[in-house]
Amino acid sequence: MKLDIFIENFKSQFDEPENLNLSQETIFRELEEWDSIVAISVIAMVDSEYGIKLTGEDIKNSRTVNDLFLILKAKC
Amino acid sequence: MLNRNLFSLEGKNILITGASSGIGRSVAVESSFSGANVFICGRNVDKLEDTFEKLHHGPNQNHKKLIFDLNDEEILINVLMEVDKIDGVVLAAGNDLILPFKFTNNLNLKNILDDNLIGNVSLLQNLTRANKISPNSSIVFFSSVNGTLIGSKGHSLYAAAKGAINGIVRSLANELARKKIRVNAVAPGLVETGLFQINQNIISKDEIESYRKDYPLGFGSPEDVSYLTIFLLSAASKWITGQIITIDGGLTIN
Repeated sequence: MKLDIFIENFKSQFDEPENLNLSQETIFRELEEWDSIVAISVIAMVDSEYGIKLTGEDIKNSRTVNDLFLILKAKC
Repeated sequence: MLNRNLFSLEGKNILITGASSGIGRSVAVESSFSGANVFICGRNVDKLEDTFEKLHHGPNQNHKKLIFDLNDEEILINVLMEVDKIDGVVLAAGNDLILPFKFTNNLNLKNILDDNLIGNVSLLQNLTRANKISPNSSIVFFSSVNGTLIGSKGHSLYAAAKGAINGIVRSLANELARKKIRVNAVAPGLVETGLFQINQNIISKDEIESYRKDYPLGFGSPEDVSYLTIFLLSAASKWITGQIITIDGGLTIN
């Protein structure tokens, strides 16, 4: 599991990923484009790409993209 | 003495699908306290037994448990053979799905239609075919504010299933009016049930609290929805048919 690929997958859940400046240190909840449907999309993406079930609490407990990546790694 | 309480369900046989949990369970319990004999249907033996224990068991009441899968038509027909004439049907079996449209597939669509629409409709087809529904009966479907008045993100397939229910209610109400059988749907907003608990695993608690602000009267309880259902089952609503009745704590006035 690679961080850069995860960041790309994460990014593609937003409506206009090309305009998004996202790194592993981004506090995703503070992004203007972040909302519940992006959160659900991230959960669905992680399920289909990695076969791992994330929960709303996992997302809530993550501050940065990297935090979420670490939760993902811990679950696989 | 003439019974002047038109809101009572005394002496009525009411069949309820999805009675093993959530709104269906609450409708079963509240109907039994309003005097009905309830025939509770569900797949899960233990959960259906829990519902049965919560029912009011009066001296003239004879409740039944019907354990079967609504999507197994062969078993469904056998089960219905055992059922007496029915004065009310509540089609509360259903399931939710929150998934962004781009992640949905045909299997999701098939499942959501099976769970919310096809099983319930198939039961009703067999009940009407076997002539089990008495004149002056009431049939209550479960719709949702989703697919009726609003369309929440991630609810496209669920809204499609509920929209289909709204369609069948209007047409069927017209067909069955000759026998004075009424057909309506209840369209609730967010009700705190087991399904709601499952959704909490997907959406964070903070997000749920922010949704709560959209409801002037807060989220609903299964009982809130049951009381409307009982009204629709009772003789007090005898001039209401073909309606999709919203019950949402004020969500859709904003």
